[in-house]
Amino acid sequence: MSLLPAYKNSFFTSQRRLDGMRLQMRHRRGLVYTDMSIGNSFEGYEDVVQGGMLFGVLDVIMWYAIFLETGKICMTRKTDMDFLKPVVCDTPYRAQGKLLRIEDRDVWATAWVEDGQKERYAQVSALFREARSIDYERFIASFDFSGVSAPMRQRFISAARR
Amino acid sequence: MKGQDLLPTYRDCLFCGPEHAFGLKLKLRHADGAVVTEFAVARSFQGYEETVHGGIVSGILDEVMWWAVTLGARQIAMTRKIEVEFLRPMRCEAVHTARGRLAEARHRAFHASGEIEDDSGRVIARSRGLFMPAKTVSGAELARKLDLTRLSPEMAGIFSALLG
Repeated sequence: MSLLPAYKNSFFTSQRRLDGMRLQMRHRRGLVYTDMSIGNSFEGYEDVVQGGMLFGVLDVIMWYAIFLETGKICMTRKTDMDFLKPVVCDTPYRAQGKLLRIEDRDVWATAWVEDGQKERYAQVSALFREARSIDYERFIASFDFSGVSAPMRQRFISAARR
Repeated sequence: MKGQDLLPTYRDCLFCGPEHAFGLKLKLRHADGAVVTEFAVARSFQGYEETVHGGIVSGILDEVMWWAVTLGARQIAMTRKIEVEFLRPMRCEAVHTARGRLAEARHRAFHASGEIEDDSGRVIARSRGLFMPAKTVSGAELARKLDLTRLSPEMAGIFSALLG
């Protein structure tokens, strides 16, 4: 299990933003995951997490999964998300995801939300495409590596130096 | 309904709630058979530099489709499935327009579509959604959260009837 760096300004992962979700992303055996309990600030219906926020979490997870497997910075091109059961606010869930396949610049990934009994509440499959206009070095410099292991840090920095 | 009719706001919704501390505060209205909102998203919701995060884009599309279903089908529904195509980056602080429409209501399943245009009229994202009746949400519960002030009498009547 390895802690992943947080994008400093991210609404989802920044540990400094009081208005954000402050999710901590981790990596283990090809899966990226975060253990989360989302507050009422992000509800849709009363005590139910808003769907767009859930998608945002899963989108971030898929981004990390793709980056860790390929070293490529990709942008979301198309998503297909199923909401299976309401995700209740202030309740623990695990969101996790993985890369599925790569074809040239196109990368497919999937992610889902499950509870402690592995029951799924939402799932998404998505097509990402490698971003051509991103300055890798500048982008990687926007991450906060606090608490991140040296090998993981090196993985990010190597991608920036491609 | 009038040509331009304001819709209610869900008081503390991240997307449309006027009382949410750091939300988008979308002002939704009904116009020409669609639910419409003009907005500009702050940099606090960026993903890549100067680009709005996809989760926020997806959330806005969900929002306009949900209201289109609620208004068009007179039904409190929940999102069951949403497909989004991200065609171009949504720039932070730039004015965009989102529209949602009820496409079909059949067998208690509601299909909606949504799109977001930039200020030159280019579509930057589009969506399709499937909504099903919300079994676990009561009209009374929703009534506590919806702000019906500032609505036209006709729009207020529609939502008062829907909420029971």
